[in-house]
Amino acid sequence: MDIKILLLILVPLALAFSIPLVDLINAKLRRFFVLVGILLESYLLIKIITENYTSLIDGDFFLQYHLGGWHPPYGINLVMDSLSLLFVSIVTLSLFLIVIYSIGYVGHHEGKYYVLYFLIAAAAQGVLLTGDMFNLYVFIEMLTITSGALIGFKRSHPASEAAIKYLIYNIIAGLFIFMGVLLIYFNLGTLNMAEISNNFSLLEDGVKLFISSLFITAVLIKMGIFPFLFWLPKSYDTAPSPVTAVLSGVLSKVYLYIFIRLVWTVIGIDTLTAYKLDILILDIALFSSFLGHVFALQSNNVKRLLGYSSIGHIGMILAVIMLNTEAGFYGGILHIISHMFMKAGLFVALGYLLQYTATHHYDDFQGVGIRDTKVFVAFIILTLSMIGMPPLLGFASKWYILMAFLEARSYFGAFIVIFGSLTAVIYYLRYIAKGLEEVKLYKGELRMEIFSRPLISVLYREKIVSFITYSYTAIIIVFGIAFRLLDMPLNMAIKSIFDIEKYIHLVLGG
Amino acid sequence: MDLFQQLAANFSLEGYFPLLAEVGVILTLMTALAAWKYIKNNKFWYYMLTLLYLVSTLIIILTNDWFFFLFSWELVTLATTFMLAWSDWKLVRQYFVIQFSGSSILLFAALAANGLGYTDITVIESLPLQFLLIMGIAMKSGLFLFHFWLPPIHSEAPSPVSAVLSGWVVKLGYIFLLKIIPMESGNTFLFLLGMAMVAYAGWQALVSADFKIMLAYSTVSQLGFIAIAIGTGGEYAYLGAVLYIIAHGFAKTTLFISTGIWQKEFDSRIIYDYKDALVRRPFTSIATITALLSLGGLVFTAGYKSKYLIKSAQNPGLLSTAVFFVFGLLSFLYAARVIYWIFINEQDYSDFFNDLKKRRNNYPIFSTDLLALLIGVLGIISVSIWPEMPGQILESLAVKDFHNLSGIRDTVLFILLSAYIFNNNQFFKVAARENLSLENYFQQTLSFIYGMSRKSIKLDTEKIFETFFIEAIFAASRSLRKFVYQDFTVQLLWIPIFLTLLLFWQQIYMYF
Repeated sequence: MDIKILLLILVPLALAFSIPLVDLINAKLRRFFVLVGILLESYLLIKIITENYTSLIDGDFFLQYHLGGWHPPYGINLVMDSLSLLFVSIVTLSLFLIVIYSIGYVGHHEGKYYVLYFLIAAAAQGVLLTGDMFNLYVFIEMLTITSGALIGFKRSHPASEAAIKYLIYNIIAGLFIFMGVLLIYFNLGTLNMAEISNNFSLLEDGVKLFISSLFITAVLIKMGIFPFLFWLPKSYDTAPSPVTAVLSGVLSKVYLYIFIRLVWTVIGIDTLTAYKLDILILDIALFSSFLGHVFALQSNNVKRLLGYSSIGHIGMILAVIMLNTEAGFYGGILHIISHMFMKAGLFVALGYLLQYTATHHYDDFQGVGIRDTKVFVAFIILTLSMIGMPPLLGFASKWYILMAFLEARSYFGAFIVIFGSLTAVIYYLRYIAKGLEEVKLYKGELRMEIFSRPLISVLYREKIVSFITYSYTAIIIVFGIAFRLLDMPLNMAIKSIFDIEKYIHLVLGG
Repeated sequence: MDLFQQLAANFSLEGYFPLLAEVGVILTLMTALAAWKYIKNNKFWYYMLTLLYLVSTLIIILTNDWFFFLFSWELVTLATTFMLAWSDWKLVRQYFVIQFSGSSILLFAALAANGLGYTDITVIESLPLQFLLIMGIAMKSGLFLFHFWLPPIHSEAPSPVSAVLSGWVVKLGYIFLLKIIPMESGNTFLFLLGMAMVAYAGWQALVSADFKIMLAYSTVSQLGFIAIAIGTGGEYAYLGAVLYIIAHGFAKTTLFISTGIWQKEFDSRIIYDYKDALVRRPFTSIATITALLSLGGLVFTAGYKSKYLIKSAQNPGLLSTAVFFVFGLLSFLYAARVIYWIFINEQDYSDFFNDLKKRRNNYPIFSTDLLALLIGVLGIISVSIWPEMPGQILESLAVKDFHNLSGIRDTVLFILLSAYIFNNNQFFKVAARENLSLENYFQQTLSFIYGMSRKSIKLDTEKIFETFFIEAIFAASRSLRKFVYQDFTVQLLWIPIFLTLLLFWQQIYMYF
């Protein structure tokens, strides 16, 4: 029973609801509040880690909190094992950086923005920490609705369109999860994950298959794997940069966590193997990765390009996880971490670089690198990491993924990893070259330029914005050199993924 | 030791192949000597490439394992490709694309042969397979219609590299054919291709003003004789092919090395510009004349002996006699024409020895160049005198009667006929070809195609690379995206389809 787990969710939630009240007093106080809130959240996390450091080292780290004192299988309980601790840490770090970035970036409707942002933060923590199926569903819906609102935050026509598309897809997915939860409740009479995991094999064959299919379809929709990738680039394009960084850096990783939690802990990978679904998902994920990289080649819109590349990377991660080997999880989770920082860093850098341009189009990218050289260098380093240049974090994670595929003799997977790197070279170099082209303006064009583009920066605190970009780059470089630091948390997380018995025992008996 | 034996089992040292390998080493030595002063930048890398080339050619000639064969051929291609970089990167690109398109056919053919049970490189009885393999080496060895790249690239390359390419690399294909075409039957298709090559390229060589282009076309023409020899079949035809490969190797390497010297001496490749050649560089002139005479098939030379062997292997009859007489005349014509334009036309030899003492050469005489040419001339002479080769490797040739008398008759006839023909045609004084390059060929082809639709297009290799590699990739990915991105309703339709797929996956999986 550790109240700090609950506080991890409650702090952002309370902050989200108190921001409108703070606004009533003084609008400038808002930023201070936001900062205090995210610092408090970080403090809680650091406190959890330091207090349980010995158990972390021993490998028996496990915390839970029973809401209202109801012990499982009744009531809601929050569970934190090594896997969720790893995810909570990286998500909190990412959210921390992006919130500081937002302080510099977001100027209009700041109040609404922070409310939605902290609701996402609360829901993301909730998803990572909950041990209850219905609670999971509630948090997922919370994520969907708040992120939908943030995608449409610019209130332009394409933004609204993208938001509506996003909401249609994700609410359907949420509906599937809801149906799955209902079916589980009607058949097993419980909503506790450990209890479900204990009894899932007792279900009838058809019901098991149906529930698994519902969950898998829903999570694949939310991750943007091949047949459902259509909403993703559009919403990445129209959302403001920090929101896109959250969408790509945090949300897609949170959904990967949900996938791991549902498939390995709740349903059990053996169920999928029995229905041969693991091979299907592996191949679909690889195909989706292939499509993502190919689509990225043709994209004339920088942010869409990054969206397509996200599809490629998430497909790759999902595939390597579906190998169900320790090496696969090692590479997969390491790439989750590296992709989280690389992609968020790229979007953050783009938010700075595209401040003067009217659109995100390829032609508008011309001369961007000459205007803001320092940030552009950071951008180049981040793209190199995406490609997989050796001293950077992207290389380490791709290397482990490649090794995992080769170890499992999945040569299609190994091909996709290398294919992704090669195509990434083409599509990123194209933009880098364009960014370094000099802009030559003629009189007529200049007039057009003045009338069509905002030449004044839309950023409010430029220094903060560029500082966050540099810190993302620094994270990539530092962890790229010292990726061995992540060895211990990764191994802990992998151990807790495979040791389901222990999870059940600790939740139900502890 | 065990590993070494396994490796050694993939190589055979039987027949005349070790001899060919030795000749390859000598020719490479010649080009390396000639390159010592010719190549100025990055000499180290040039010689590393030469070394790589040498080792890989030896493997190609001696191996009987498909993998070693294909692998080392790719290495030869790579080494020679990058050697072209000392002239122009454009050539590198063109040669690379052409050679690798040839490689792909060869790879396919080799895989087919392997699949049909020929696990080693041995005599192949199946006719379709022979055809496939001939097509495989066609692009690399410049068989008829696939020779289009040879004159532009061999003439534009740096002279030592031209010597490498023309003297030995194109012959590797024929050495391979010697291994796989059965000696008893030969191959009619190859025979016909050879005829076409001799006639067409011989004519092109006759109407060239540029020395290097003439030599490149003569290479194709002479390769035609080798193709005829292998296509005919029979022991003497094969020995003729071997002798021809050696004789032509020496002659063409010598000639290309000497063109490099002439080009530096006169600052021109057009043969009409060469004045006082004999006075300026007597030894180079002697080497050039010797090699050209061997090329022309003058009696007693190496060229005559090998041509005679090929001729004697044909079915005796008036037609074959006449055809080979015409072919011999054609080779003699283009060789004699070059000798006339360089050494006879408008030359003043009245005060020859005094002029010689003045040493009027522009380009310094390097000992390495002289040594290379000396080796070439000695090679030609020794093949002429001992066609059985030192060490009696081609021992049946030691007792062979080469009918030198009929050779003398033919040579006299050639001289008379060529004198008559030259006199009536102003010694074929033609203008130099304008821009002989692969780009031009592509441009002509494209203009022809676009001419039908009344649109014009300007060709540029860089542009083509850009267009092909970038635009093609972009267009392909764009159309794939268009195909996947259908209407929104269709996009949503994927959800029930996918769910159904998951539910019925077990049943579907059973079908696989």
